Parts: sequence; structure tokens; C-alpha cells
Amino acid sequence: MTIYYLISLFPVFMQAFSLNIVITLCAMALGIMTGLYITKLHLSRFKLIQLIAKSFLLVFRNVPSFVLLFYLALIIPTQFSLASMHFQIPVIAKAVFALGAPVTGFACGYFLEARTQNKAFQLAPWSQYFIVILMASTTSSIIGVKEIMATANATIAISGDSQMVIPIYSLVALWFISCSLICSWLIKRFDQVLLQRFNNKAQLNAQEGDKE
Amino acid sequence: MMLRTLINLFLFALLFAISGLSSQLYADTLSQIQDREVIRIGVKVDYPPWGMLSPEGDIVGFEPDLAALVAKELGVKAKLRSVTSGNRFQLLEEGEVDMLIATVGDTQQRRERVSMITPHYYRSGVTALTAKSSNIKNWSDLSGEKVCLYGGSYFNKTLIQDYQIEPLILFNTRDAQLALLTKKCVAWAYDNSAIYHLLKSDSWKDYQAELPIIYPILWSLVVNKDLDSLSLKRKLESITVKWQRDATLYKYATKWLLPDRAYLADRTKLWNQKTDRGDYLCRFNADYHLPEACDQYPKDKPVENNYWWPFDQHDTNWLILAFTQTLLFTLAVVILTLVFAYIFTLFSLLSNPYIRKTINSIINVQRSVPPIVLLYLLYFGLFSYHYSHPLMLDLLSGGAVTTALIVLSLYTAAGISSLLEDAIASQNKRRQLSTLNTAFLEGKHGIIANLINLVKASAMASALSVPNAILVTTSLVASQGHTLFLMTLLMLFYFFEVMLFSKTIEYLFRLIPQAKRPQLEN
Repeated sequence: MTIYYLISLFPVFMQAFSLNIVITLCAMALGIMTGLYITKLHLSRFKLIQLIAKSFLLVFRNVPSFVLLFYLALIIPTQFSLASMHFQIPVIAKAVFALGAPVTGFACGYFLEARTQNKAFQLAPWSQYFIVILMASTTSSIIGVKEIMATANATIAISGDSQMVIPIYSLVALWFISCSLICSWLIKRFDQVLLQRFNNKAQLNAQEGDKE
Repeated sequence: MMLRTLINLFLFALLFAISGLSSQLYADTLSQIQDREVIRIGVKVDYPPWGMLSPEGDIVGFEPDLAALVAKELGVKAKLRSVTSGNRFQLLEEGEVDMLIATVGDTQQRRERVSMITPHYYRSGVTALTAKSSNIKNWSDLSGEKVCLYGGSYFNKTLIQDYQIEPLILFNTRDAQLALLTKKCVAWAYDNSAIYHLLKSDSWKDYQAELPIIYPILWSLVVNKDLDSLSLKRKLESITVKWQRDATLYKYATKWLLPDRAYLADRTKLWNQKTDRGDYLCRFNADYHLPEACDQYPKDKPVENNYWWPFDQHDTNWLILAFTQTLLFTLAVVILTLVFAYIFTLFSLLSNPYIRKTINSIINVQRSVPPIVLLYLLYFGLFSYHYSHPLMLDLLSGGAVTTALIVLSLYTAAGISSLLEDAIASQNKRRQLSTLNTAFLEGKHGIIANLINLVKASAMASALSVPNAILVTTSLVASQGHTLFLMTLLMLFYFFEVMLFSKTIEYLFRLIPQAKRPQLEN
């Protein structure tokens, strides 16, 4: 009975989970762009700009995204108008901004380090971080984004049955375990290919150098 | 020449249009309504049965019915427009609607913005949802008991102070419901109309809301505050007085099966009482005020001091306590993580690769589950059965603090141990304690990064109502306002907390290698 019920929940969870993926992708994109920009500022010749970049980075690194989530949820109004035009800010955008902050810190660190070292580009650190943010995206349920965690909570609350707690959360846990297993396997294969190409290229370069 | 005439004509037309527009802007709202023979009324569609959509898509409910009555009294047609709690005042101010009948509670703060019609037409308040099997009959029975509260409720502080309850504050109403279902608290105190919704569903049939309603909020029809709306306001006042006297409100409340109808019945009795001279006891005086006994105006807020710190002693102490608790919790979770990480890494020293790998993958599985899922699973799930299993360890008795400590430290410890395992594996040496130490020092940066992430993640414990800075700050925002001030304070607190912990951790790690270096060089 329970198993059939859980299976029937699959499409709903799938839909909710797609929201997690959307939030994570947007937060990654936003964070990488801001990260690139702050890295650029960081390498500026002017001390003042460097200082600004450093203090931004410090804030992005030190404020937990969880706290930022609340900050944005409570400070920014959900709707406001300018000259009789109505704007709506969906909660999901707030989640993207909040989760974009740690990505910015991470991206900045990566870019600054990458400048000094000549290494093959590897997807692994990025994909690991993607999974970290994907998992963190579940916290946006707290400010009312209807993602997988919120859906699980709603399913239990609507059923009014405390016996549903363990099976439903276990389903969510399993979901994430399988998701990260699939991801890490894919990434491993992909990185092997990338590393091979880099090595081949390096070998070629070395051979050409020998000829000269 | 031709052009100039044209421009003049255009300017003239413009002037004419503007003057026409402004004369329309300053027209009396009531006569405008009567001219166009339509009154536009903002009602809710997300609040059944007060205001909702019928299966055919029409707006129906208690408030739409009242809207139709208003239109009938004015001899015009009603045009209903759906509004939300977020946009209702704005739509009114912009003239998109002429008035609101949209579950608006009358408060002094809102009176600064819009005009409230008295007498009020309904009231809501706070009640508590309890299990039918429990023996709670009165608010005083809850003294010293755990009561679930939604962090966004305005009455939390007053309730805690008035009835000495032990609060369990949760971030959303869903979690509050979960906590009640899993017996983390004996009651959930919340808005009576929302609880009334909930009780209509079959799944809550074992629960009831029998406690008397406290902290009432009176509901008002609303019009704009400007002078143009004054005549409409007077008209609506006389309509609501009529509704009180002829029991219209009671009749419609009965039609829609609203809760707390006895209140409306009492009101009808009161409004029909007469003085010795044969006048109604309840009626407007020359200043358009009602006698105190007939309708209460919202109480004025206590005078705000202009001092930079806007909170009283109770709130200040509450905040200081919460900040201290957050620091202590973080310290505890960091120490516990290091202990777990050390134990986990000891498994890496096992020489049998199969046993080692099995143990490592078990440790690592929980790393791919979001900590918040594990928090909920353990707190609301596994640990909630301690009532039926008295033999379960006392430590695991469903305490939110214990659950959060365990989940967060295991999660980070697994991260650290997998880092160390990689370092050991890359060394290709015999697995012994000294390799572990070398790996520990080499993986220093990774370990520090993991610990700093843990310090940041420990904020998450507040989801389980672990006494924490976020919970207390958001509760204060809900009851006192000062949103920007409080949230910025919270942000600064976490910023400096993370700084403090990361500097301390880095400092401590700098101490270790100096002690071990001679050993390594040998």
C-alpha cells in the first residue's frame, strides 16, 4: 500500500526536483559571472578597487547562504510598483540570489588559483560544487519555494499521518543519493577524457619543442 | 505659422485633458460610483469560505456576499476583483478598486495608510490545535508545556509571556503541523480561521480547536483615506450598523458555516440594546465615534523611543541568549565533528581493502543526502517514536539539539574522512597511525574549508527549532517590525561568527605542525 503510494508520488517529486535543478543552475550561472567580475576587480592595479573586491569576497564567503535566504526573503518585498508598473519578485529569484553568493566565493577562489597554475581543466571541482549547491537548494523550502523538500513536507502534512514521515523523507534521501551517484560517475568519465586530451596536447607540445 | 497654431492647439488640448483628468481625480468617490453605476470591490479568492473561486470560476464566499449587499444598498452593480494580502492596499490607493472586503484586520499601523470602517464585521483570533485525546481545555493548561508556534505570527511573544508556555518556533506552518503530528509539541497556537480550514480536511479528524479565542483582531471594510472617500465611508458605516442590528452578518456567517458565530450573535444583541430613553445604546455620536462597549478601536502601540536600540529588556535578553546559544552550538558541533572525523579516519587504517571500502562507502552515502533532509528524517521521523520505545537511549530522545548536532557533525566528518582517505591512498604507504598524521597535515586546507562550511551550515539547525539566532530574530521581526535593523544585525552576527571561528581554527591548525615537524623529518 505504502509502496504504491510512494510510486504514485514520483511524478510530483520529479516536477518539484526540476525546480531544484533550475535554482542550482541559475545560482551557478549567476555566481560564476559575479565571480569572474570580482576576480577581474581583484586583479586591478588600483588599491581601492582591490579593496572593494576583497571586501565583497569576504562578505560572500562569510555569510551563510541560509542566513542570506532569510535576509532576502524578509527585506525585499515580493511586489513593488514603479510609476504604476507592477513588479513581482518570485521567491525562487531570492533563492537563486542567496545560493549565488557561496558560488561567487568558490568561483573567485578557483579563478584566482587557476591563473597561477597551468593545469588541465577538470569538471570535478565544479560538479562537486554543483552537487553541494543542489543539496543546499533544499533549504529554499523554508522561505516557501515549492521544491522537493517543501513538496515532501506538504505531502506529509496533507496526509495528516505521522507514519508517512519516514517513508517520504527516505524517498527524498534516496533520490539525492542516486542523483549524486549518477552525476559523479558521469563526471569521472568526462574528466578522464579531458585529462587524456590535455596530456596528449602536452606531449605533442613537448615533441615539437624537441624538434626545434 | 501653421505649425505654431498646431502646437498651440495641441497644448490647449493637453491642458484641457489634464484639467479634465484632475477634476476626475478629485471627485467624490461615492458620486463617481453612482455615476458609473458600478462599485469595484476587492475581495479574496484564496481564503475559503470567506472568499474563494467556485468550480465554475465565480468569486463566491462570505465576503463576496457582503460585497453584493453593499452594491444593492448603493443601488449599483458590484464588480468583484480578486486581491491578495500583499497587493490589496496598493490596488485601493491606485484607484483600481473603490473599497476592500478582504479579511483586513484593523490595526493602528494600517490606520495610518487606509481608512477602516467601524463597526467591524467579523473577528479572528488565536486558538490552538490539540489532539482530541489530550486533556487541554484552557490556555492555562498549556503553562509549562511545549507549544508549537509559527515564527511569522504576531502574537508569539505575548503568548509566551502571558501563559508561560515553552515555545517551539518553526519556520512555516507546514513544519508546525509536522511537529504537532509527531508529538514534538502538545498544541499548535495559530490563527483560528486557518485552523478552521485545516480541521475541515479528513486527515485532521483526531484533532480539535476548543480553546477560547484570544488576542482578537477585528475585521473591517476598507476605503481610501482621502477626503473624497469620506461620503462613501459614512454610507458604509450606516450599512454595517444595519448589518449588526438585523443579524445579516450572523445569517451569512451561518450560510458559509464560519467559525466563532456566537460572537456575531452577541454583537446583534448588543446593537439592539436600548437606553431608558428608547435610543439605541450603540450608535455614532456627533464626532462619528462609537461607545467603547460597542466596538473596540485597536489599541495604540506603545510610544516608540527614538533611542537607536528599539527593544525592551525582555527582547534584548532573548536576543543575547539566542546569540550565545548559537555560538555554543557551533562550538559543540565543530568539536564533535573533529571527534567523528578522527574515528572515521581510523577505519582508513584497516589493512583489508574490502572491509575498508565498505565502511568508507557507508560513511559517504550520507554525504550525498542534503543535511536538511536528514534533519527532518531523524527529528520528525526516527526519533519521534521514543514514546513507544522507552528503552531508546535518552540521548536520542528526539531532542532537536542532539539531532542537529549528530546530523551536521556526521555530514562534515564524512567529508573530512574522505579527504584524508584520498590523501592516504595517494601516499601508497603502509597504513599506520603516522601516515594518518601526515595526511592530516597535508589535508589541512581541505579540513579547514570543511569546518568553515560546517560553521556556516550550523545555521540550518534553526529549521528544527534549536534555540538559535535566526529563529529569535525572525520572531522579533514578526512581532515588533524593525525588519531591516534586525536582519542586518543577524547578518553581521553571522559574518563575525564565521570570521571568529575560521580565524580560530586556522590559528589552532598552525599550532599543530610545529609540534609534529621533528617527528616528520625523522
